[in-house]
Order: sequence, then structure tokens, then C-alpha cells
Amino acid sequence: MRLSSLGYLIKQGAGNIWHNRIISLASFCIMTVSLLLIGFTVIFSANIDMFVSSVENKNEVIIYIKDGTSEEDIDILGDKLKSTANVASVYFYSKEEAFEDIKKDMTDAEEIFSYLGDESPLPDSYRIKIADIDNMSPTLIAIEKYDNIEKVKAPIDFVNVLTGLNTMITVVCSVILVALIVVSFVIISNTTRASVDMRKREIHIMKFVGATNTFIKIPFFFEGLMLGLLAGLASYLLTWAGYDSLLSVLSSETTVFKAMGISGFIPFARFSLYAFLGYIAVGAVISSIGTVLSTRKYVKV
Amino acid sequence: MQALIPCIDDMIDIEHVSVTYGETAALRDVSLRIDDGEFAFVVGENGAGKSTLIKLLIREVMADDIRDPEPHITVNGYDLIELRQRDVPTLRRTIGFVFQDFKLINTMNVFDNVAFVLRSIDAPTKYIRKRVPQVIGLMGLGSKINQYPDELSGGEQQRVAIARALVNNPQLIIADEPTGNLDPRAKIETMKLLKEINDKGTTVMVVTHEHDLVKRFGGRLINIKEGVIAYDGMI
Repeated sequence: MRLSSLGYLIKQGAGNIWHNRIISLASFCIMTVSLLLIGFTVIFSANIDMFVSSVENKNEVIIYIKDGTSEEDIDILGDKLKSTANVASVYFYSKEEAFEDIKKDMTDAEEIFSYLGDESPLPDSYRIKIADIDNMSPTLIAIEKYDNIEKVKAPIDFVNVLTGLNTMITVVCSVILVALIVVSFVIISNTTRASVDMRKREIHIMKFVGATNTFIKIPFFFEGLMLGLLAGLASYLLTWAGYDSLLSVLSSETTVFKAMGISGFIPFARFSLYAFLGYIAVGAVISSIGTVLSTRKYVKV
Repeated sequence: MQALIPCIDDMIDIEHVSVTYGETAALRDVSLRIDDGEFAFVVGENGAGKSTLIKLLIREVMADDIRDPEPHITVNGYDLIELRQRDVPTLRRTIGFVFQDFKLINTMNVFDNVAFVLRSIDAPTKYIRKRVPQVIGLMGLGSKINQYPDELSGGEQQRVAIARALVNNPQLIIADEPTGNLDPRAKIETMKLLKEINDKGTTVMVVTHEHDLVKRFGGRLINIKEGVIAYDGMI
């Protein structure tokens, strides 16, 4: 095909959008909303993944040792912990060290500490890190069976909430993604159908003068492609504005998130290029496939 | 395999062709030959089979698959029984069409309506810019090249439609009721134009039910009645 013909067909596709502007605008809006939902779902999921990772990095489990346990038994417990599956590291935190640390942290309470004397009232403990946070529960169950343990303190509830939330979000997002892709296909298909109806006379004449099927269908393909690209671009800009605004609101609540072990959110700049390429690619692919399928159905040549 | 016959004198050659829609026979064992450069009128009542004949010539419908006698259709050297679907556009590029309702695109001006044909077959832009004004000029519409169809009279619109049919240098022009929507003067003008085109060597087939025009211009008359050729001769 000649370059000039391609230019002509692209112009025809753009012309279709203009002549069919009401339905094109509706398709553009619905596709943009679909892409935005897809984008925000992915971004939300990525943030949850980051939260889980940050919690995984701080996944310290404290194992308090019963008072009066001999040094030999403490060492045996340490060895057992080291050989336990899914334990990444083991650190012995003596009661003296714990007492010194607490004194350093609570400088205002010197008077209280003076009453306590030099002997630490705190228990000895082991601090261990878990390799795979998803398997934290079975690891803790195994550890709790060991001798000379007073108490095991782990962020298990929060971890369970986060991992549960992540699984739920993944499932919900997948369902939403599929539904939105289907909706986008239907929308593009209807837009193409409207354009085909609008250009019925032209298609009829083109058939009589010997235009090939491909030549007749190409303007509809470009129409869909342009709508998809425009929706992708709009989604990117809206995500940029929306996500930055959301982050500025959430950043005022840093203390709450820090208390939850969440150090921050993924800044837009870090995934800006991926978001741009992703939106453009998804918009283009969905609209192109939708248009090709619907021209096959509606353009009888 | 390209379904071309190497040597032809006949523009249209149909033998033992029947076309049936469901239970209704639109054409029944029709045989017809129109020579290259001939001018022929095809007349007949509504439902006689005229439209089916046109559809058959552009491979919009297929002849019934009958073994004995086997049907045969060639148009401008294309064997339509053997022609592959993907080669149908190539056949149609050798035929120019003129319709009763002109079938002009109201959002395009005269130039674009005519150029549309060449654009549809991927012709070079340089050729389009040269050829289109030339054909529009031949139709006497040079001064109206930038006007839109609704700014033209019925006769002028039909001349644009004829320019569109001619622009690709077709060997055959099929005019389907070309004077149906025109006033008496425009009817005569249109028929004269088609005769002039025929005089320059293009085969012209005019499908009409206007017997007055047929009598006035004379020539070959093919009368279709209930799917069969009831009369084929000169008047």
C-alpha cells in the first residue's frame, strides 16, 4: 500500500471519530475509565506488595526465654532456632543488653531505673528473622513447642491482614480486569458498528469500484486505534494528577502508616514511564483487537 | 490460478446460467453475449431479473451449481465461475457503475467524490490530481469541482456519478436505471453522454424500464421476463 493511501486512510479514521463524535466521546470516556481502573488496580497492588515486602524486611520475632533457664539450655534453644526451617537469622538479646537499651531510650525515667538497681528485670530473648513471611504461622507453631520459652511475640496479625488483603486484591483485581477488558471490547465494537452504519454508502460504493476488504476496513482500525491511544494518554495524565494528589493527602498521615510498619508509598516518578507505556499499549491493543473483531462482523465485504 | 481467458471478443458471455434465491428462480437458464464496444439496453418489469443479472456480472451472486449443462460466465475476460473471492475487487475495477440514486457522498465535494474511486484502489496521488479534473472537465463540470452534491441539480449529480464511473478507465459501464431520478431534459443529456462514452469504445449496458428512451436512442434491446430472455435484438 502506498504511503499516501495510508495517510488518506488514517485521515478517514480520524474523520470517523469527528463525524461520529458523540459515540466516540462516550467510547473514549468509558475506555479511559476502564484503563484508569486497570491502572489504579495495578498500582494499588504494587503498593500492597511493597508494604508486605517492607514488613517482611522488619519481620522480627521476639522469643522471650523463661526466667531461670540455664545458659546451656539457652544455647540449646539458640541452636534449635538456627536449625528451624524458614528462620533466616537468630540473635541473642540478653536481659542486660535489653535493660541498657531501655535506659537509653527512656532517659526521662532515670529515677525509676535507680530504684530497680543494676539487675535487669527484663527477660533474656532471641530475636529471629523469618525468611518467607507467608509461612510465618507454621514456623511459629514449630518454635512454640520448644522448651524454656516464656512467650513468642510476632507481628503475625498484621502480616496475616496484609497477605490476606494482597490475595484478595489480586483475585478482585483479576476479575475487574477481565470485566473491564470485556466492557472495552463491547464499547469499541459498538463504536465501530456506528461508524460502519454511518459509512454504509461509502462502503457500498467502495465495494462496487473494487476496493479490497483490507482497504475498506483500515479506516475503522485506525479509528479504534486512535481512540485507544487517546484513552491511554488521558488515563496516564489522570493517573499522574490523581496519584500525586492522593500521595500528598496520605503523606500527612505518616505517623499512622509508620506505626503500621509502612514507610511510604511508591512515588509516581518511579513508575511513570511504565505507566505511560502500559496505558498506551493496553489502550492500543484492546481497541485494535476490538475493532478488527467487529469489522469482521459488521463490514460484510 | 487467475481466471482469465487470453483472447476475447465478448465483453460479457453468459451461457446456461440460473440464479435461485431460496425457492424463487430469479434467472432461468439465461444465455447472453455482449460484444466489446457494444451498447445494449436491458429492460424488464420489476422482479424480472434485471438486478440479479447485474449482481451476477459483478460476482455479488453466484450462478446455481448445475452440472448439465454447466454454466459459463465471463466478464471482460474474467471467468466468474472460477474467480477466487479475493480477485473479485480486480474484476470490479474493470467495470464502472452508474446508479439511479447517484450514490454520491454528500460530505465530499465533486473532486473528492470522483477521486474516491481512485483512492479506494490505491492509485498514486499524482495521478489522482491529474486524472480527476480531466474527467470532471469532460462531463462539463469543471466549474463545479469544489461544489457539494446538494448544491448541484439532479442532472449534474448524475454527471458526477458518470465521471466517477469513468475515472478508472473501465472497459464496461453498467448503468442501473441511470435516468430514473432525472427530469426529461437531464434524461436525454445523460443518455447522450453514455452514447458518447460508447462511441469512444467503452461497452455500455443500460438497465432501464423507460421504453421511450430506448425507442429514441435505439440499438440492441434485451428484454428479461420472469427470469428468462424474452427478446434479444435490434430496435
